[in-house]
Amino acid sequence: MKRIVLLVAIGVLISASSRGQIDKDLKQSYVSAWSKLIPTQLKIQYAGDMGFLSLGPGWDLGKKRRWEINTFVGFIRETNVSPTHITFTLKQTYKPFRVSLGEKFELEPLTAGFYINKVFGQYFWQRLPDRYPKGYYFWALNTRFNVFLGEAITFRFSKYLSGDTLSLFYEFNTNDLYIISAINNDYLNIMDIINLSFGVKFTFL
Amino acid sequence: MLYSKTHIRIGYAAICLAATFFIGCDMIEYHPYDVSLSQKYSNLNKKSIERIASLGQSSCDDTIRFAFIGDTQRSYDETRDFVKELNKRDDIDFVVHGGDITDFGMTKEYLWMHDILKTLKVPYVAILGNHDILGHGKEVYRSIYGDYNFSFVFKGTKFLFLNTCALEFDYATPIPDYEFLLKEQQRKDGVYDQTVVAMHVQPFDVQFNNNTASYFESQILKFKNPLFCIHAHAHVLMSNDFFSDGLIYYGCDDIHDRSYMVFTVAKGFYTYKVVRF
Repeated sequence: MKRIVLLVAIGVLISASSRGQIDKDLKQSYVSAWSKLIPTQLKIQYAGDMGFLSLGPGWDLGKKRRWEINTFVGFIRETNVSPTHITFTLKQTYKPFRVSLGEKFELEPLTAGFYINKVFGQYFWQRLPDRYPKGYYFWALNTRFNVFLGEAITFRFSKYLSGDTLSLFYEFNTNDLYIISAINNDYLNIMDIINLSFGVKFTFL
Repeated sequence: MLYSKTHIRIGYAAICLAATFFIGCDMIEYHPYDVSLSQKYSNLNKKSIERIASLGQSSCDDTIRFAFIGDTQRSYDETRDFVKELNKRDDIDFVVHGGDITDFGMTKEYLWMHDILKTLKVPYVAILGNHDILGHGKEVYRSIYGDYNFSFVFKGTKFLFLNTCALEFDYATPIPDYEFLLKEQQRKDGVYDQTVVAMHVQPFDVQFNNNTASYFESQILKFKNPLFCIHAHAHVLMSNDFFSDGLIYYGCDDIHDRSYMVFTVAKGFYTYKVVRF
């Protein structure tokens, strides 16, 4: 009887300890999966048809970190006839080249991508309100699709915050409705529909 | 040290210079519907009306001749050609734009269109169209052109310009503005014998407040000798006696189809012509 009890006790202990190991591994993989969602950078952008100022976290993607996904929350300042509007932007950037400029600097001579901007407010609807006949207006007033080309210069922190970088960038952008307007019109040239924005990026992971 | 102070100063100066250049070029835009970019122009209708009034003082001829266009929207090239054509004539007193100046109601569209229309030799007034209201378009219209409803008297004819885009305002704002019509009926200044009424949306269109269509007509008829009404919005030439009372509503084609109307108004009668270019 004593032997049986001992065997059972040992069995329980072994199975408990191995189950603990599995749990640990599972938990570890769960944590590492979620850890990929930790932002690797923070961007602030001025203008660019996404608001006066926009701020938000972003993620560097790809083995060579040539892709970035950014999210922004921005605002359009109030005027005496319009209120403050909050905007949200989802942005995808591709940086095909990287040129090293000495120890401290690095140049990305070309950045390209697109972003979707949403603006929130009374007159900015996503779906045509019910009062209109079907198809009365064809575009969503609150959603603009932008494309951009730009350039960035990156500064590496050597002493403090080693591994972290600070980038300054600018971009030329235009949106779907501006492109539609310029098509079939000689009057509008490319400079009429292109806007300029500036930004700062802090990469910390 | 890799970069000297002079380097940094030169760099800083270059950035400042570039920034001023681009900002000067209107390349900084916070949003396509941002109202703050519209401050370039203001009170255009009022300024045009002042110019029209000064025309009336110098002439002893009582005949009025004006051109009527509408729905310029995305037709920048056609509008530019219209301006070229009209500038060749010297028999036109002013131009009336029947609304839908823009297609999407974006601030830049207003500026692009006015940059074309301001090259007209004669003054022009513009009515608010349903497309012009979208987003913050109506706020931009107000800051560039002025009130949604306005009027003037020229050589004894009263011209009324009315916002009839009821659907855009979700019926929350009274449109047509009968308060405005009442005030205009009671006005003692500006002696006139006949009336011409201009609007963007014609009665019985889905955009019009049709619940009040016959009341609208009755209020128009209270003005002295209403000659005719003009509207845009339909994108085709049309003339309708909507209320079977003899008051004709003329609709112009959009500028994309390269036509405009010319109305000649004299005391007690009028004629009109469609001009293609």
